[in-house]
Amino acid sequence: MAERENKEILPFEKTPESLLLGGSASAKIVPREETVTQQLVSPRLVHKHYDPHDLVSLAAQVQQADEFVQATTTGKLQVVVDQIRYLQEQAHKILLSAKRDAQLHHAACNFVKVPGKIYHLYEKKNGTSYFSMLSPEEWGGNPPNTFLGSYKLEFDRSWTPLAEINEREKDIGSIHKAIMSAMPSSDEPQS
Amino acid sequence: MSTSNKLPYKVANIDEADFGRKEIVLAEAEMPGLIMMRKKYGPSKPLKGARIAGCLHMTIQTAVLIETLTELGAEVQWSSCNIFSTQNHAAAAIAKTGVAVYAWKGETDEEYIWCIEQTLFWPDGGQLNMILDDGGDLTNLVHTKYPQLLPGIKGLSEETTTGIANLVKMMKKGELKVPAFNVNNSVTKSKFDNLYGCRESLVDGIKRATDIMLAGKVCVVAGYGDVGKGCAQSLRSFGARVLICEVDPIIALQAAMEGYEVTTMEDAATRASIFVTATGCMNILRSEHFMAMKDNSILANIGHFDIEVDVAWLETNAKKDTIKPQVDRYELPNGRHVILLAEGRLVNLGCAMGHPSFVMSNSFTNQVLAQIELWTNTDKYPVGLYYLPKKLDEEVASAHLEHLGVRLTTLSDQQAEYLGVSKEGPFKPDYYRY
Repeated sequence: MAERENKEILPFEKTPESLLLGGSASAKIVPREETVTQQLVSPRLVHKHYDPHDLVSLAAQVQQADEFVQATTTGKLQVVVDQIRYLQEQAHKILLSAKRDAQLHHAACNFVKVPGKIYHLYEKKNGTSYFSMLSPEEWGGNPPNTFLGSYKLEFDRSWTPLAEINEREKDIGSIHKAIMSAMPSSDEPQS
Repeated sequence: MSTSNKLPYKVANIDEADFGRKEIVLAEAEMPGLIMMRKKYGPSKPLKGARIAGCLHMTIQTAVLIETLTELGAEVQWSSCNIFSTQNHAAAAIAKTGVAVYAWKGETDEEYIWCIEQTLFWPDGGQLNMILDDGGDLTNLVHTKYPQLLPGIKGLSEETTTGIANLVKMMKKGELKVPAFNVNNSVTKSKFDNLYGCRESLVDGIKRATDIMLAGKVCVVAGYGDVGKGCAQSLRSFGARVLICEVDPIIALQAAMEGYEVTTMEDAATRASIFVTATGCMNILRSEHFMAMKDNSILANIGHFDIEVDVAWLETNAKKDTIKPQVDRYELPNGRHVILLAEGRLVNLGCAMGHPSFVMSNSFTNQVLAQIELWTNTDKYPVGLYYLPKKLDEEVASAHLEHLGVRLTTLSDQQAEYLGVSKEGPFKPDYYRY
């Protein structure tokens, strides 16, 4: 008896017609009907070829993208090249001024040079150059040797030609200002 | 020259004035003679109206001299009498007080003359009327290049042996146009400054320049005058064996009897390793001596001018390597080296700080007295070369006794009568040699 009951509830033994749905309702397989199928998928849309040259356009796009990438990269690299060029110029300038500073430091000088002071370079008749405390004006415009130029000794031991002193002071002044505004004032009481 | 654009001063670095002032205060404590002058003559201002152009090593001690002169009423303009001897902080401190000073350590020869020329004229267009000189460069410059100023100059006082030799020469030729006081030969100057000053400052200069060990070395001192005596004694006290070169038989005998070996430079050149010239003469150390010297021999001059060592020969024939300012090592043609200090100029001022204050107080008190005497008693002194009276010399010495804790013995009436001198001095006849 128990075997029989079990057999009765096996679904595969039931026909599709008697397939239970929700316990009481049942679904039936209906024959294929063209109109209904057409409503579900539009074959017109599904089978439409938008562009018969799709592959070509893909290739074109790839090429265009390459060009874009190349252009962008070139653009980016151009900035770097510019920077390199600028840095090269800077380096050249620095080397030149270093050379000048070194030459000036090697000029004969009997006194201890003090940073912040202006000294005057002269050349003797034998071709040796030397630093003097006296400007051509202080010689009454008639110095005993050939005047080559006046330079200010900076605190980093570099030399600034007389004509550039104002500019350099302005630069140093604004740098100093920037440093001061970036740093907490030392006057402020420490908590 | 134009005076309208005259600089108020020219020094290396005016920022060093405060440091200079501190050292001046220290020096004042060691210069009782000058402080006594300020106390004694400060209120009466005997130098009022005097426009003194001074040409003397611009050191801290000189700063005390300058401030003594101004306190006595003088207007002062100053230059240094040696291109290396200026102490920049001293010059700065003096410049800051408003005194026109033109001096820095390491002038060129042309700048040196420029500095002296700046002191001849006053900003109002007036000129100097007194000279205080050391070595005679200012005196010579005025006599040769600015003779138009001579009638306005009432007198000059000369500090050093070399300057006196110059004045004597000028007198003989009839070129001296100004009454001159020989401060150098005041006993309290030459027997102190030259002797005890150099005794301390020579070795100071050699040591600061080279850090050389003196003990056991053979040293030569050329010239055994007051300066040479001080130098030799000092070198010997460090344990050096000292040779002396002399031309004067009396002084050579003195040196020998002090226990020094007296020999010629030709002989000494091969034996010594440190050479000191103190002759006041020229061409003492020459090429033949350099070439005979041991490797790295040290050459130092302490005579006033840079003519005792033949630096010109070294410059043209040897390869120069500057170790530091005022210390040059020359490679000779024979491959050996000599080390020249202060380019053959005064080593104690070029490589060290010159003489200590106390001994300079002796010299400078004489300078002040000479200036007062020439300015206030001008009529007493027609053109000629004069000494300060012995009484003043003794006064200068007296002013320095207390500082050293000296207790002076006083003559009794009986003793004074026996010696035939006054109880207050002068104690010695003028010919006494001390």
